[in-house]
Amino acid sequence: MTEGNGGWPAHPRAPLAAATTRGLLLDLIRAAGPISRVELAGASGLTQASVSTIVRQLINDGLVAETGRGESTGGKPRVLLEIVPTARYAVGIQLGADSVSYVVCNLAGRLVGRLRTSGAGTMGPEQAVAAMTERVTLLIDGLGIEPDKVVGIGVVAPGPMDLRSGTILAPPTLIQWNNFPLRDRLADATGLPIVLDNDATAAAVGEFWSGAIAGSAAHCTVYLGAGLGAGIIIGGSVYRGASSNAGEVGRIKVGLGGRFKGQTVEEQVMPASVAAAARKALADGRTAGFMLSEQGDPFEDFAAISTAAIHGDALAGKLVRSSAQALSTAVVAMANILDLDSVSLAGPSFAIAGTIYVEAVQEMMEREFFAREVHGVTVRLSEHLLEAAAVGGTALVMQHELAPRNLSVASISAVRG
Amino acid sequence: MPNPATDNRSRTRRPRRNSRASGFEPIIGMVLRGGPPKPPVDHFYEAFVAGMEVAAGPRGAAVLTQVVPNVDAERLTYQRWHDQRLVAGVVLSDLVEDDDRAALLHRLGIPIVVLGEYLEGPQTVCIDVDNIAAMEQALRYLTSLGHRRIARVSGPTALLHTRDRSLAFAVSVTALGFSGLEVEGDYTAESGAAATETLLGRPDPPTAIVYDNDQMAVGGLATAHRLGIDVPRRLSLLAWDDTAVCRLARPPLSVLARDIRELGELAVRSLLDLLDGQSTVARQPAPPAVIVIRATTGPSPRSTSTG
Repeated sequence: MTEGNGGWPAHPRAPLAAATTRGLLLDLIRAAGPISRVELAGASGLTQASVSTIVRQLINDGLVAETGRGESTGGKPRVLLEIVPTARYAVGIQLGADSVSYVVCNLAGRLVGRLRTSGAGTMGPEQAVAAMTERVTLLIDGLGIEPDKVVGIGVVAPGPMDLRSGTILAPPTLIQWNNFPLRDRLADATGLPIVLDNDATAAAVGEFWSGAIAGSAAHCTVYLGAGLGAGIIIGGSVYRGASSNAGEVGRIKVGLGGRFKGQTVEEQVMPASVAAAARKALADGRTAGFMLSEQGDPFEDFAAISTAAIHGDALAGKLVRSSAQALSTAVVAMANILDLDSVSLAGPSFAIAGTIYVEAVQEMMEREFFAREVHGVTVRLSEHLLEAAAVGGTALVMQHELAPRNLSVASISAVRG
Repeated sequence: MPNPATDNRSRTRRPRRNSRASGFEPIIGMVLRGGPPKPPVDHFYEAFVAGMEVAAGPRGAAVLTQVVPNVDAERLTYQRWHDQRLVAGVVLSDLVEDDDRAALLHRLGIPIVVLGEYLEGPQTVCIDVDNIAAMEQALRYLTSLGHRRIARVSGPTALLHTRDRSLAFAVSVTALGFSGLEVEGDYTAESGAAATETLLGRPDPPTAIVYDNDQMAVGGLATAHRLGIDVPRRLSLLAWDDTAVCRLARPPLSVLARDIRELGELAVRSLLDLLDGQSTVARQPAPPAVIVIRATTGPSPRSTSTG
């Protein structure tokens, strides 16, 4: 077990959030700015004196700037405060078997650059850590960002994982990574703080941080990459369960007969299954408006099927809708258990035909959601579909520095505590 | 951006990475213009870059994108990528009149693939997107439905592809025999909504509106709803580019669709062919557009009431 400082090397720069009140104010300015000191005091519950002291520090550290004056309310006009987006940056790495995505977001949470390279599937983990370190440096240099403005790296991968030791546990697509101490090795190699998390959880945190789901009491981000997972945010906090491996909606077995008998929802929804079903249909002599890859690449095949589906091809539409139907069953079950009011779909596998999935979930929700007479459930596509998890990774590591809003990050407190 | 020659304080001193050219896959760079008033995620470029990545992976290349606020920052990025010997080539898009970016890239010796227009130059390949044919196709479709008062909400007129479409619009007014009217938007839903309101407030409002992108059409649809105008019975709306927002609009928008991912794939394949010396083709035609009829286009109200 690597407790204490193992995964958290001393950072050359003073931490952003020495006190949580500082983080709270910084996040309020980020989310609600331009905002006056008086409004900040009102929103945070802090005294105006405390607000003034902390704001002065934030301005001195270059994180916040005064930006003109607001409406006068009788006395002298109030000075408004705004975040300085270029003051800090965070890196997000989305680890997949077929591709690795690197993104950089600024302090305002906006995507400033990204790099996508071929996957980690063929590399051993040590080799991959070296490659990731080089590419993070390349990306930061290439974007013209001063390295000491980078607060850390959020690494996201499909689960399951042990966040206490910072390891990925036998992910089906990255089998060599089993028990590899990814977080510590990457921290050693890069000299940056690393936050490791599940891709679906990260995607949900990213959406929350961006303000896209503000006002939701119970939200779930359903994440479809190679597999299926979900990140849950209840009352502004991530629901992490006992070990941060919650939300595995794909593991539900729905007792359907026929060709789905005994299959999990994930097995019915995932791109590889849709591709396999398409291959079988073509072998059976069905005609289709798409071509499958010679090598049988499931992601390429799924992209071709998805494209044909949105262009109205009958077979492709049927296959994608069947996947969407299975997904809807699981999402409605989840909505019923958690009394959700908001669902987002995120992840690269929704990039092309995500609209078909949104419509299927909406439709089943309207028909079968238990509390439908009481309230609706907003179903939408996430803003960043492809990079949702990587962008969420940047939010997680910014959060570690800024302690924003209401989100509790169990993994960090567990490691630090 | 501080100039390293005059400003030593800004960057930590680190050994220059000499192995970059040998140790990394070739990197294809693209600079995207972001920030207000553009929406945080431009669905066209999202799909385009996704296509680039799909084509780059199997050829052992990687795709780097940077979002910058303006053209000055874009130029600085090219200069930096040159100084760092970072990119093998660059994708250039949204050309404007007197665009000096291609000349800069030529001077820096960076090979380019130009999206949209044809441009001659050393180490240059162009993905020729026929905006003229696409606009004519859209207008033929609308006139075939009986529309005779057709408006267009255009993108920024500084863009060359906006001008191509404007030219095609003007030519079609005569060729197809309708009265046309154009209002400039800035690609945001808000500008589409405002332009639509202006158009519908006229004494002789259009019976069909074509929009230069997806977001403006969504804004236009919202305006029609708000004004209680029945789409498509009284007003037909046609969006440009088939993105998720068009399909999720209520009712779903009819669109002039191009395979945007395919465009991205084509750009990267063409650039890599150029770099590999496999191709001397300077001009690659983009796949043609198709009209996808959903629920926002229908017969002109005049032709149904009189017919």
